[in-house]
Amino acid sequence: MCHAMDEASLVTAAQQGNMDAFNELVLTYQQPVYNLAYRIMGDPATASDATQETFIAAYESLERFRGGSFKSYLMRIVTNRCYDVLRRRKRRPATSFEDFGDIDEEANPALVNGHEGPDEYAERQEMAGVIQAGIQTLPPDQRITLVLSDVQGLSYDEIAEATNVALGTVKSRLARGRAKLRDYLREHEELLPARYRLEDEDRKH
Amino acid sequence: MTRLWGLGRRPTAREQRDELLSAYLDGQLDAEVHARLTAQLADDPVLLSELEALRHTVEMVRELPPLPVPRNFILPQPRTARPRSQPAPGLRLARLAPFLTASTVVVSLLFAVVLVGDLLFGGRMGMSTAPLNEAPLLLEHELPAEAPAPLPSAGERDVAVTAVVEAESEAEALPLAVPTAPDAAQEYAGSAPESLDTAESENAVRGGTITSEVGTVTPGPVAAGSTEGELPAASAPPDWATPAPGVVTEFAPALDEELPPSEVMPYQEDSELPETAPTAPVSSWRIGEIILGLASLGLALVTVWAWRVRRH
Repeated sequence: MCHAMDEASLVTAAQQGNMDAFNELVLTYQQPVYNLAYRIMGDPATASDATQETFIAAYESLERFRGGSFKSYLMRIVTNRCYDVLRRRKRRPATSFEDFGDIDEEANPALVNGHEGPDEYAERQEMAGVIQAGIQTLPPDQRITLVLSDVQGLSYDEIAEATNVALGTVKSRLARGRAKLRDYLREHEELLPARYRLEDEDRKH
Repeated sequence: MTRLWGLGRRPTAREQRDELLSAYLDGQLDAEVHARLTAQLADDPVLLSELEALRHTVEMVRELPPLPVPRNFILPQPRTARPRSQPAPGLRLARLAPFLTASTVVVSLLFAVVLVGDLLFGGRMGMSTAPLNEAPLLLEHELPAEAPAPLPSAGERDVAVTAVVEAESEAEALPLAVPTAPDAAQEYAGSAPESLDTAESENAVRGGTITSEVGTVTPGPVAAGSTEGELPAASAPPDWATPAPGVVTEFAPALDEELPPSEVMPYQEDSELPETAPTAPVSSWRIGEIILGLASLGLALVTVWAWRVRRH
């Protein structure tokens, strides 16, 4: 992660046409941008396209960047890109959670946690697949808000800025998205590993 | 909570509860509301269960492992060839959005002014019809049937023939031709003659002056060797179909002058004669309306596009 001054310097250099400086910013933020696109879109190919388009659009409109968080600037762009794609898809059939079970260790070595064994890793993979499938069932507004908040960790204000809606709208969309995802997980509880089930007695206080 | 949700729909009690619990988890409630909800949770195990389920859901989402990027998304170097001082054409146009907006307004106002002007004054002024003396001439065979002219008398025809014969003898060297007076007189005076082909005429009479008491037939220069009944349309007066009686008109060119080659009309068969449709009067108001209307429409489209690019 760039320091504030470093990021500002890179942005300034990029605004003057320094592509190396811009690519430094790309390398810094490509993972959160891609993750956001993937969690919203649900498939790697579309997420890759959205990510690439985001950096191209960010470069093209770099002159209009007036400071602030460059990450938020990128998040706003990728969110709008994903929004556009989702609107074009309109009534796309719901995607089965099996479609998201293709993340294996070889393709995704970063998923391997040094503290967890193979069984725990496999359970986490199962959980991730079910969660991703549940996210895909949400309406675009709620899906984007939930991903921005709970996957990307953006604050309500940052979400409101990225999605260009009022703070109250962010709260209500997030609450409805979380509630629907909770209901989905309840309905598909048998697909979750035991330690991730909502009714697991061990998790109750 | 009285705020409306969605399209004016009031949230259900369950939705209100979920929003409170969600905000409670994120610490977004006022201190007072937070305290009341905490107390309620202590007394309501169902509400507490819902809160825990929601908390667990959020935790699982936050536990989603970060995905590695499938590749690097760095931009290729050729893009650096474009200096930042020369943005893409779309961005350059986007900068002009305010100017385009103003231009659209001005042109639209002009359009409105011209439109109103046309409605108010279009019928009285500004009608620039084609001048009468520039109107295309009707050939003999195109004369309307309802515009007959009196047949010349035998004496008149003799005078015309005499004039033509004299002219022919004086101007043999001239390369141009006019129809003979009997032909011309008969044909123009006749009501809608069938065809020039049927006229018994000398078809290669060279240019000259035809004078009669009925009127004057004024054929223009015709190419030497032209065949039956070909009359040029270029130099005939517009009102030749109804000449004033007794008027004597001299043809141009003079008999003793040789016409310049440029005035020689090309040979044309009857079937190839151009149709001379009457020219519709064109209003300058109407031309202005069309130009300004198209301009305002085009400017409006470009302006909308520029604002869209600017917003993005």
